[in-house]
Amino acid sequence: MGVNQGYSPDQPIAFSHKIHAGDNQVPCLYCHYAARKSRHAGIPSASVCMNCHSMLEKQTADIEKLKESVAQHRPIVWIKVHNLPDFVSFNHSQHVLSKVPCQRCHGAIEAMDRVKEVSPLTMGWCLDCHRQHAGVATSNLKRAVESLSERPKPVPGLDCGKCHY
Amino acid sequence: MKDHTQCGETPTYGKSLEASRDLSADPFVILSNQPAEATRRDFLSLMGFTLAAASLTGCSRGLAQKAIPLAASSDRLIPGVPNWYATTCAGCSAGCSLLVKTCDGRPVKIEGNADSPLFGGGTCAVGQATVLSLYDDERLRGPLWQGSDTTWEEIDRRVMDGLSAARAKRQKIVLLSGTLVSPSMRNIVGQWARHPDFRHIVYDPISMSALRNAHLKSFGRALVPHYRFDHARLIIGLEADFLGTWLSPVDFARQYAITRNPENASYLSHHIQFESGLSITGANADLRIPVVPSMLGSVAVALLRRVAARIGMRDFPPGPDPLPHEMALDAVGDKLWKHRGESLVVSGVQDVSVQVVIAALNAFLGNIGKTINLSRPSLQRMGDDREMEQLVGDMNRGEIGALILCGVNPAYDYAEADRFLEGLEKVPLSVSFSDRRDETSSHVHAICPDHHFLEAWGDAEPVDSCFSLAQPTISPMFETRAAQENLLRWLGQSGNYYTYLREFWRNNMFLRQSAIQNFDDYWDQTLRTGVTELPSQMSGHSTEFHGPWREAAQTIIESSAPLTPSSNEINDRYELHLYESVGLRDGRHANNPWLQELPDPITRLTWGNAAAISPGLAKKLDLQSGDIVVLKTEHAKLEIPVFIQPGQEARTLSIPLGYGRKQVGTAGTKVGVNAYPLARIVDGVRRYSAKNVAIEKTGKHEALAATQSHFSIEGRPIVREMTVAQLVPTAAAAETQGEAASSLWPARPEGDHSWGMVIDLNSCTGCSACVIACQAENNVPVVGKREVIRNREMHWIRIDRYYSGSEENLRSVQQPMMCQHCGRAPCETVCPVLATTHSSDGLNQQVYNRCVGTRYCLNNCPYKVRRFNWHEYSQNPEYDYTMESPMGRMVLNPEVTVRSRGVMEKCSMCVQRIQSAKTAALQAQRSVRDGDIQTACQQACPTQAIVFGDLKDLNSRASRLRRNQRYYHVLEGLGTLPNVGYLAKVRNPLTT
Repeated sequence: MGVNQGYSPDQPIAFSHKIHAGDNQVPCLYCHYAARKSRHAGIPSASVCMNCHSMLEKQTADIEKLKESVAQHRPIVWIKVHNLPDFVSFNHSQHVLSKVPCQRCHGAIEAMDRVKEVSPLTMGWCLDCHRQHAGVATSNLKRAVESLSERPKPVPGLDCGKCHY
Repeated sequence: MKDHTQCGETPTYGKSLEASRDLSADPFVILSNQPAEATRRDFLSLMGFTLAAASLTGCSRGLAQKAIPLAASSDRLIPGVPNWYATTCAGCSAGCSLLVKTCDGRPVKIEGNADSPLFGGGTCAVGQATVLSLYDDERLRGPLWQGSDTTWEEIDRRVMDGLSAARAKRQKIVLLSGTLVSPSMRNIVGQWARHPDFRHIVYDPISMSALRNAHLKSFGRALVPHYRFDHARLIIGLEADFLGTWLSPVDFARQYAITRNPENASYLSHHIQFESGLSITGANADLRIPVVPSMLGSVAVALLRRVAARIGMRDFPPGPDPLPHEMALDAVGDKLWKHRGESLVVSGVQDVSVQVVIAALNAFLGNIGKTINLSRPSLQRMGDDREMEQLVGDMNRGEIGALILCGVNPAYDYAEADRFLEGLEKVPLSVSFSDRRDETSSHVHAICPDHHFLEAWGDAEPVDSCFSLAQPTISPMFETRAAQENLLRWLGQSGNYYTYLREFWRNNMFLRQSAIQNFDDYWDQTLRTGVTELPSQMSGHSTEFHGPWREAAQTIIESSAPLTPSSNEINDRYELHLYESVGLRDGRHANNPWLQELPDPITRLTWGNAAAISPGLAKKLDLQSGDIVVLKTEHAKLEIPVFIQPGQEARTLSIPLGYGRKQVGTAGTKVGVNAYPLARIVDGVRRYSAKNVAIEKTGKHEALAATQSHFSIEGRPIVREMTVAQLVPTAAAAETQGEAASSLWPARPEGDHSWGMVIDLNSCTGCSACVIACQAENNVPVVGKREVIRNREMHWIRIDRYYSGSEENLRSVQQPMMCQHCGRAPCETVCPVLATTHSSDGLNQQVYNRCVGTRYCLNNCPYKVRRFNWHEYSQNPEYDYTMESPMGRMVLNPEVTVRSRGVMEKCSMCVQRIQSAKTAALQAQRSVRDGDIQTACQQACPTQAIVFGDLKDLNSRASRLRRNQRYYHVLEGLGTLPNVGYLAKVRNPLTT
């Protein structure tokens, strides 16, 4: 019930993560820049797309849509793929800052032409990972931490109240 | 176990005098012994069907959700990251500095600006609730002419025609406003005043005109001084609720708490309150003496007589003392003399003679310049009652050509509202800046709705040369226009108010400072911090007292000739005392459901007002709480329920103002009774008291929605109180934390933190700002009067009040009570589905999606702090308060779940704030520090009575307070080991 694994809706623009993140190696956080600071990863506005596309020669009907969106100051309405219930608070920045790779939850997104929900996004699935890493600081962060005199230990939480409030 | 007697005497407290409630009114209480109709078999078969049905419907996927990015990216607006703006509150004329949290462009939470030298980081309940008024669905969407929609161009044309016509006929043009705390607005009015026919009249619904007049007579200038309670060792209040509503309660409560802290202050102030109705200020006093309103003047004279005798003045007018308190008055007089130069006498009595006597008292005691600042006065109350009275006369004589109403509603709150309305009919052009059709604006020609202050630019100068700026936190949602812009346009000046405001600051405040050379930098800097303090520009103002105190004292002595108790006629006459309630104040926020449902800190009433009477009077007249009576004064009568209030002066009835609005909106219209018509204009000032009131019983009864259901605390030490003498100077009190009480439960794995809270009952005034702050932060629903009567209010934090002492010498303590986050929580052990569990960092967590609503936890909670969602309160037309309309839902905090029907909820210790602080620390590559996390209640508190912190960090403020000798846990004997604890209240009796 409520598990949407495999969900891969049509989008208003046939945006391919494979071309952008895979073939052209655009870093995830270039477009989803909010993921570092916010609980939302954020969908880039068309103006972010145009940072590159205004300099690229190739023009398609979809790129026309982007230009129109910028010109008319009207956002593109995407279909949300990864939905969590309202009673869960998931924070992207906590995971990104703890060096959890995007692919851990979103799958091999750099190989997808159309985004598909590969993970079940159930609580048990979240907790599998949290349990596995409980009490163990991820290596990069551990190094960062050890260089500081203070004592942060971003331990994956197992408390209900970490996500449900 | 901590010894209960350690904190000294424990007075006997009761919660209310009301016995148990009538259970037959509640449909959920089974009163008969009828067998239940459905059998177990029926139940199982039904359940089987429901499960199957649920699994079938569960197969379909819901509607596709949309994800809409920003139209253009901005580095200042990141979805999910709140932005904060400094601004100034316009909830009343105190002008508190605020920080406003906006989420995705919507203001959702108001907090105090800790940089403010006047207000600290505190706010009041009204200030907290103003964010909801922004989303009031009943605000006007645009301007109206004669009640019909129109355009601003049309309004401008018609108003300017009307103004020209008035000028042509040499008729007066009048701007009637509340106190203008904004210096730039005062400057605009100054520009209007260059026209000889223009008059500006300031009208305050709750006037302090008598105080201003008394200062004119005493010091040569009509002003309200800036009181410095923080410099006073002896505070005497005469019917001035300075901790709740009087003048600038956030500032005063902050100052007051400084002098009441037994650990930090070099001295502990004494506070004596003379008043008729019990206020939170009286409840906090060391000594509270009930006095009928008409005798307050005599008390002031009696004190002045004692002080005058000490100075050696022999010619003081003779007269009797207000008798029952002679002993107390001698003691107070001695104390005043002892603390001359460091005492403060304040009074809210609207009588010029009384205020002159009070001014004389302060002057003779040498308090001027010490606890009373006349050279930097308060600019928060500037109304002149005589001018208002004159205006109403002029209007009725047809002398007013145009009347512009700015932020006032005299048809509701003026003592002679009918005469005002009659006069208004005769004014050829009337304009109101009201944001809705109210009692006054529905009778004017043009309504030009002003922005809500969260949408507007502005500035404020609450105290001379202490400035703050206001900036919009959201674009205006409707076709509204700033009042200042209207006034500028109608003067023929183009340009918007923002430009005007900037230029005004460039030519004034900027020139008065020298720290920043570039105006743009200065503006940006001031806008960011929100506040700035400049050297005063007041010219050498006399602080020499030359008031007519002998005449004033003589007038008071003559007017308060002692009653002859033998006369039966007088025995049936009572006195009336009208006061501002902490929630609704003067009534302008009546359509704010948060404030309507805020329990009054003393009466605990919501959704309506009642006349408070003493238990003795109730017995004498055979009245119960809720019985409706008719009160008759010489001029008016009023039908109102009574409420039995311990501590109420025996011959007085106290009625809160602000209720009984006829036209304000769905939530506020026809809630309670309007008591303003009982106020009278006496000697040119509006007086909020009356003598010779007759009470007539009607035999009718109304259910009052009080948030209390227990009548006794069964002798358990829930609140503790001690005297200064009982404090041990070098506290060597044992730490309660970590006391190993034997337990049947296995030890829990512990995390890095243990979040806890310490609440100082000595600092808590009961102002209830925390209650509204919590409601705003945690999306707490409003349930309405019917549900409150069924004890189903949803507040996560409540302020319990307990009485002790005798009826004559009643004492009251306010205790904020929320989930105690017990280390061994009784709720957790009874939940059959593990919906409430303990976190590794000491929180008792409630998981809504797991809760099935058995309510076992609620029944097993010894603190009764859990709240059950009996109904769906969101998007439900039956609960049309805040979460029903799309407008009202904009106030919801996106970081907190909106709970649905059938689940339990309670204080989460603002776990969302804990999580954000942890994330912020992670971003900054450090650990969470003490002070990083402030819960909503803690942030709102003007006296910093609530301290949150990590109990594992032995140096955190909370940990240190837990080692205080006054520290205790509520119901310690149960062994619940709460993470929330309290510091006992300390009284400072006059004898020390």
